[in-house]
Amino acid sequence: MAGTRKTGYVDRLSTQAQPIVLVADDHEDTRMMLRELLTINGFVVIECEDGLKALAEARRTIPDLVLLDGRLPSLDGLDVARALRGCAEGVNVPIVFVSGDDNCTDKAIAAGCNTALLKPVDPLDLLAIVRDLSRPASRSASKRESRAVKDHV
Amino acid sequence: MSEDTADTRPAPTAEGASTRRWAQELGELQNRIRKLKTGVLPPAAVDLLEDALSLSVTLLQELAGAQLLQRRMQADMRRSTASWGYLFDRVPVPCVVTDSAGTIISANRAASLFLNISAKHLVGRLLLHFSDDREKFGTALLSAATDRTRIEQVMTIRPKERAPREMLVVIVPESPEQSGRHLWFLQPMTPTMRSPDVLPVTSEQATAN
Repeated sequence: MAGTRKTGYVDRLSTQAQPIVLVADDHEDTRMMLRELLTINGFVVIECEDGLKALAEARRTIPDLVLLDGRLPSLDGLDVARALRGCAEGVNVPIVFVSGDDNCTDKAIAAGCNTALLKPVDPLDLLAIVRDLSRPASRSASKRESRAVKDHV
Repeated sequence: MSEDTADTRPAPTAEGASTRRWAQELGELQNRIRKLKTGVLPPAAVDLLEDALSLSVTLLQELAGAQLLQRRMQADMRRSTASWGYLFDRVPVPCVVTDSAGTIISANRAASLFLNISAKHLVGRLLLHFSDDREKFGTALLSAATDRTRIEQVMTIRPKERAPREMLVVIVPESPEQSGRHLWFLQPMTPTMRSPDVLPVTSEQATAN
């Protein structure tokens, strides 16, 4: 898929599957920084620069977490969250919403996001949240459910 | 790198002031035309004037809408840039931005701590001076610049007045609009990491062989 890229280089000898994070942000430098931050910390990153691609990629790969920027071309972050929650594959995927809008939290939660962060985001806070929401126990359970629903559909 | 967060409100612009002035003048014109309706001009002429005025108002509204959109886009860009700057500065990984020759343009806090030089004094230095593998460094930089691809390379980095360390260096070319600039991430090697050229053969590969 155009505009989508996977990376990952750490802990090559690790036998544990690395959690997959889908980063949707139209600002290339921010995507780059988030990709390296997450990759260095043991995540596999899939990048999308617009909302429609993010939605398609999330449905295709069922990531362990979606990091969603509020302002995205073609489909904004809240619309992506709503659409993801409305489809079988995305029901259980944790969604972290990131926005510069002071009033984003209520809107994000109403749209189905697990949490919302206000820009500028502290990378350590972000990492802690991503680790918490994508931790293996909750991840495997939600992923199993999503995949089961997807297979059933 | 600035730690300030940008004011995200669209800034007042000369275009905005001029649009407001035009709107005011159109409003005054409309009042004058309404006064003319008392019989000075034939009704057809008044209709024509009102049509022209109405068209001007529509054009002005479109112009104001376009200006608002442009200001919002500029505000978004400022917000994104400020957000990136904050992220860059606080990311807990030594990270520097260089030009195409490897001269440091900016460095984050972690890079300053690791290289043992303040971020301000790192600017203008060649990153190459911190590398013990100058040939490897040059090849990686050239490769990243010519292929515009992300490079991973294990290199020995020597911070100022400290022992050299083996690091996994990741070089990421920035977007084409910022052509020539590179982001460098310096990550200490851990026992579980291997350089790309000594990756272990997976069980699938072994079976295939």
